Order: sequence, then structure tokens, then C-alpha cells
Amino acid sequence: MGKYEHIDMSYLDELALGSNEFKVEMIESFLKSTPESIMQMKEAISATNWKTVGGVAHKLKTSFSFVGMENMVQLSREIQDAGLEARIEDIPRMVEELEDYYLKSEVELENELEELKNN
Amino acid sequence: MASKRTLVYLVDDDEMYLKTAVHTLSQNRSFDIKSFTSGEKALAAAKASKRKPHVIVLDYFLNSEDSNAISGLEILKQVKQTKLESEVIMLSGQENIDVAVNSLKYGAYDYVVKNKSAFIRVQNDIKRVFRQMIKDKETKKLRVFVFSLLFVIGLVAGVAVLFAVDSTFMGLLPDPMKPKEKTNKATTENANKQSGINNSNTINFQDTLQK
Repeated sequence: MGKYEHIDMSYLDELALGSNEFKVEMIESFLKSTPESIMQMKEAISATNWKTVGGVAHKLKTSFSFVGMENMVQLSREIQDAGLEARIEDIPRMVEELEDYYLKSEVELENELEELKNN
Repeated sequence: MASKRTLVYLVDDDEMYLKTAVHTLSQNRSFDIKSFTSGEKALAAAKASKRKPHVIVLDYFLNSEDSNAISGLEILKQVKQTKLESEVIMLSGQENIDVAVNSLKYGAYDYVVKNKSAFIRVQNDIKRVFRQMIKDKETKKLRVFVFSLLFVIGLVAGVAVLFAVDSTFMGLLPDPMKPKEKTNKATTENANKQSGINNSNTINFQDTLQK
């Protein structure tokens, strides 16, 4: 995975086409929107709104792919399918797992962000 | 649609994806990009604007989070029902045959999965659509020109035929001068009668002189 354990910046580097500004913007967006999405999924689980859980997971997939978290892309896909098919038993556990992994990646993303801002 | 630049609307409720799409596609200097987070906003802007989008890149699951939002498929149908003349490229997060079939069935130009090569494919699609639109426009202009030319040729030919027909019939009819001569002769004869001159008498007089 290179420089980091949980994230891989190679796809974002490719998309940025040499623009650090773009990478900063994207990482900041990710750090802002992902916790909001996880919170939204938790609220939807409490409200047994499985369709919303699936919908939020659908959007998270692309966000995770930008920062190279391929295992989270896969997990989001599983949550999406489970939510849309109302297979509810595994959803809370999967969302917890997703949150844990995100929190681990958060530190790495903040480091990357600081590095980009200093360059 | 007079501009030589391609106006592209990008519509996605996923702001990170939208930012990436804008950033990537803006690298092409012949594209003018406008982004929207909902299909409703994009449609309203397209209807209100004088300059209509050539291409609308539309996320299929626009209502994935907000169930009240209009889906990408519904926006596609509305675009095709209006006189926007925009081509729609449908985006989807995953390969799904139903999504692909529905998109193409309702008139999408292409269906693109949001994978790592998606932006390249979208960019190529946009270029192809614009080239086709220019070609169609030129064909339309050429068709109008040819029809106009044919009309003028037809008109000239029609007039020429009329003249030809007229001349032919005039040839078949007696010379218009002849009736006039007849009339003159008749008039002379009448005048002679009135003045008491008789042609036969004149001949008789000449015969007498010769004798």
C-alpha cells in the first residue's frame, strides 16, 4: 500500500493532474462528509429505514475509492445491497466496522492534508 | 447552439464525485462545464437558459439518499420530452444490466459505470456527441441549400418550358400578322366599294385601252 496503511493516494494523484489544491479540496470534503454519512446511516438503522442505509452506502463507495480504501468500497457495496434488500441482521455490525476503519484512516488523511498544505 | 464550445451539464448528488468530474473534464478547454447536485436544478437551468446544454452527464441514482428527489431515469425522460436536443450520458456506481437497458431504452446516448476509466469514456462520448451535432447541423444547412437550389432550378425550368410551349403553339397558329392583312384588304375593298372603284371595272378599262 506504500506510504500509508489504510489509504492509497495514487488514484487521487492521477485524478488531480498535478493540482495539490484539488487534492486538498477532496480530502477535506472526504473528512467532512464521511462522518456525516456514517451518522446518517446510524440514524437510519435506528429508524429501521434500510433503504436510506443502502442509499448512503451507495454514495460512500465512490468517496472511499478516491482515497484508495478498496476494502471499504467493498464493505459499502455489501451494506448497500443489504439495505436495499432489507437484509437487516448484518447491517449494524457492518456499519460499525466501516466506522472503525474510517477512524483509522482519518489520522493518515489528516497527515496527508498537512503535508499537501505545507508544500 | 451557435458556440463552438461544448456546454456540458454534470449532475450528481455525490459532491465528491461531482468535484472530481468538474476538475477532470474542465481540463478539456473546449468544454464549458456547469455542475448541479440535483436533476431538478439542472433541468430548470437548461429550460431557463438561452444556451442549451449539448450534453447532460447524469447520475442514475440521484435519489439514492433523498427519496423525494427525482431519479436520473426520470430526468432522462423529461429531457427527451422537452425540446432541449441534449444528449444524455448516464452514470452508474456499479454495473447493472437493468440500469443499462433502462437508460438506453429511454434515449441515453451511453451508459458509463463509475470506474477508473469513466472520465475518459465520458470525455470521448462528449467529443463524439458534439462532432455529430456539428455534422447534423451542416447536413441540415446543406439540405436547405440543395432544396432551395432545386426550387430555383425548377422555377427557371418551369418558366423556360412555359416560353417553349408558348412559342410552339404560336408557331402552329396562323401568323398573327395575317389576320391583320386580311383585315386591311377587307378594309381597302370596303373603301373601294364606298368610293365606287371596282377592280373588275379597272381591268376592263385597261383591256379597252389595249384594244
